[in-house]
Amino acid sequence: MSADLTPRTIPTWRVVLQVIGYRPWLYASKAVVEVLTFSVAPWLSGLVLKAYFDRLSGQASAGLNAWTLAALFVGIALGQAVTSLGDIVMSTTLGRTMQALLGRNMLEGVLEKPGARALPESTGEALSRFRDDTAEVGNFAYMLLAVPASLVFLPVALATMLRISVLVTLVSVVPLFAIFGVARLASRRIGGYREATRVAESRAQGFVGEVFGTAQAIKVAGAEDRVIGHLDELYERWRAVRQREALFEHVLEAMSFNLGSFATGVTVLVAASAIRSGSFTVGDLALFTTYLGSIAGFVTIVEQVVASYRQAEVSVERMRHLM
Amino acid sequence: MEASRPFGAGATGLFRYRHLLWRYARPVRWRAALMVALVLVGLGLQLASPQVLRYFIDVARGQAPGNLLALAALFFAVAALEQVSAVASGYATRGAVVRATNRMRSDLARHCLGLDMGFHDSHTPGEMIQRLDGDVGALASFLMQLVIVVGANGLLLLGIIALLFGVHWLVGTSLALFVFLSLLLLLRLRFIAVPHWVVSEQAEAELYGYLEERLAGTRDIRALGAVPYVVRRFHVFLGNAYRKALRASVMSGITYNAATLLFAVGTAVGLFAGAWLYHQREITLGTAFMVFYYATMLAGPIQMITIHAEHLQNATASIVRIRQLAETRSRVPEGPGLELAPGPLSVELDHVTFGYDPEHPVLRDVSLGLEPGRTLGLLGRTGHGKTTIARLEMRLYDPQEGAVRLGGRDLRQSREGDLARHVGMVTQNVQLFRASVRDNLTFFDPSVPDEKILGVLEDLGLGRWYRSLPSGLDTALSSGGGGLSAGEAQLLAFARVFLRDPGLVILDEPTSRVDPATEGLIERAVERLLEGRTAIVIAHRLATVARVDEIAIVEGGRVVERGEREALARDPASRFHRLLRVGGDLDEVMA
Ligand SMILES: Nc1ncnc2c1ncn2[C@@H]1O[C@H](COP(=O)(O)OP(=O)(O)OP(=O)(O)O)[C@@H](O)[C@H]1O
Ligand SMILES: [Mg+2]
Repeated sequence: MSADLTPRTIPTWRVVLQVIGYRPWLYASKAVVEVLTFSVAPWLSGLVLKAYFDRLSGQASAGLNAWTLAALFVGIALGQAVTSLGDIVMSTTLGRTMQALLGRNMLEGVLEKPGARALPESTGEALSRFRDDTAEVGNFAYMLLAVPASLVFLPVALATMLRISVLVTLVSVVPLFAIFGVARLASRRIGGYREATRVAESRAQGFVGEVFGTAQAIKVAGAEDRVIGHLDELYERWRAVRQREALFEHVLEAMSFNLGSFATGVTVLVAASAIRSGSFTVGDLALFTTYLGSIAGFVTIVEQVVASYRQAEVSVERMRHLM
Repeated sequence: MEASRPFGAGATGLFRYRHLLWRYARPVRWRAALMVALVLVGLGLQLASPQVLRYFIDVARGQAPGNLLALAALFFAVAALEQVSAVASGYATRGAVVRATNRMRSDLARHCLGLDMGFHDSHTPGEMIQRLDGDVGALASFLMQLVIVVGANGLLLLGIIALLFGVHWLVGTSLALFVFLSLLLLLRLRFIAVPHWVVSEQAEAELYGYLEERLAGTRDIRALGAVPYVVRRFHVFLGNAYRKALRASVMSGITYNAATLLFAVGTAVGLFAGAWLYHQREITLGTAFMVFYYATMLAGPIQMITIHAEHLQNATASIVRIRQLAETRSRVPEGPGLELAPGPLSVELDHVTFGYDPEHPVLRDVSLGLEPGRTLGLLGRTGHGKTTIARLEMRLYDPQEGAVRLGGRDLRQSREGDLARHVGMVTQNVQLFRASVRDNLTFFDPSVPDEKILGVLEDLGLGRWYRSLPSGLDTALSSGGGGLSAGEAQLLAFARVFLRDPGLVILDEPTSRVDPATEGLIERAVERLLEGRTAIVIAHRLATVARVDEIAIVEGGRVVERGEREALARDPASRFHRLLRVGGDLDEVMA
């Protein structure tokens, strides 16, 4: 079997599917390993923590004792480390296989081109097709795996939380996603801030270049201090826009990555009376704390997959052009 | 003056690292204090929230008195404030560091600008950008890391450990040990993958090297029927690259997973200790939860420290380069100061020998005098030292032997800026900034009134040009004077000199041709420039030479002919006479 790039009508995703289909079992086992590493392990850790605290508090009298549970916590992490290493082996193997497959097809295509035509682009560019563009397609194939791997965690974790308390789950998760959504929307504005910083930076840098390119004229005019004064103004303008950008970034960061403790705060607030009545245990609190921390990180993945597909499309187009 | 120039003479030898930090921290000390305060508040909040959680749980379970809802609200408030303080301290830190950095950039730029032209000849503008922006930037991020790593994260770790000791010595000791060992291990593991990646990159280079050669000769391969062979070899190289990459990735994976595993172990240590003490009835359930919470909090700072430890090393190379620059001394040292009377000045080169490289003199034993108010035309073939003479009169360099005098005073006595007041120079190539017309003419001196500038422009015949500017004097010129004709740029250089009205002017005429209309303007400008001043004109046109009183011809770094213009013109044996006879362009005649 070979990944046929030549017919221009075949869409990029079909090419990716062909590449995946070349080693279907490897790809499938990588999917399993990813789900184990990124979904099952964090889910189990949460359950173990819950069991541990429920056991300590006497809210669960049956089952494993606290010592065993603490050991189990390490055991899960150990298992996670093993599957993660396995994942790395599979990723490399899979990625290289895809690169080899695409590379061989391209090489044959190039060498057996009818009419002994020369390469349509420079050797350096052609080389980049073999090295970078094949990697992009492989990269997208991985990214595709990250979706099920992390998206398995989301429903499973939510289901576990909902079974404990519908109210607490909704009240803690909904604002989490809302804030996250706002942060994502706001992050589009960062482009403008970045651009302003870049302009101010290149103005200041450019002026440094001019100053040292015209040192003689400046000395002749005795204008050293005044020129540096102007440079200071440019630096100050640069600092102002850069700090504004940094503020924006810090706010976004607080709204996305560091939301875990905030979400725990919400949980505690909502669950206060339930904890007193015993219907929401300390173990449940531990479980919510861990899950809420993890959920925040998963939403970005979808965006990354989309970006990676765009990149793969460009790469496939370039590889076709070479052949 | 001295205070604003920390890299100047006073700083010699004192330029040490601590000194550096202090020098630049002081002006921003209030901001720095605010930054430290905010970082500490953030730490306090981070450390406090698990304590609140402990009370909350104990109250909820009836093991302690207190208002449950108030505690929950307090916890929520602390968690929310934590976010706010993270933003505030990040903002304040950046503000203080960037201000200090820019100040350092500016001081360093000022120091370098004050160095002799020899320094500027050997350092490209690109290199200076790299030093000022790249190296100082690296130093800044180093300071930033220092605050974050040693300051915030180190303190957070210490705070957590201290609070855990407060719970029970057993918890404190076991987790302190954990922190110590994991830092040790992780800092060590960081490098194990590096050599494997080097090997992997080598294999990669072999693979693509092979491919590159084949791609360069596709036609031959086909003709020889070698396609299957090439594809087979390609596979062999691919296989080798794969095995090397696999090993390197696994090594990296070990580092990464060791960290994850370690943090799980840390949490488990907290869980074990908590369970043990709880069963001993030493602690409440709330405290056990707090211990767990603190144990999970250890991962963040440990990770930050291991990641940023790298940056801490990277800055040393930059610091060394910055210091080298800062410790460079000018080869045109500051004198005691030179006071000159306003008005025309006498000029004298007294047995001057000079070479940009002392081994290869460009000027040899040159003596040349000019009375106040007289004008001298300097002629000579290209590369024979005319511009060099002009530069010495401006003290852009000091001669190796002999002396250059102005108004009878040795230029070595002058300080920076002394000469600029009395000597004006129009250089062969006009250098313009990407800045407004006004700033280009006044060199960023806002005290020069607009009327004065406009007057000078009108006098030079640039009135029409000025009126065509879209925003008048505020119109931005592009770097290098793009959009200006060579003649206009030349006239702007004249305007710079007229604005300062010096007693001596040096005019290095451009060799490039300008259009006839501008040529007329330039001629009139030269005429006005020479009026009532001592002037040295490095002439490339006969028309210019016709205006001067005296002539000197330079050849091979010596003055080979010297005299009154009219006398030389009359003397058939003189070189000048020969030049005039042949006529035309002086440069072509002499070449
Ligand atoms: N900044 C410098 N560093 C090193 N050598 C230089 C420098 N400037 C000039 N030179 C050398 O010194 C010699 C004299 O140069 P100078 O510029 O004085 O000649 P010039 O008479 O002005 O020539 P032109 O008529 O072309 O302007 C030349 O050999 C030149 O290569
Ligand atoms: Mg010259």
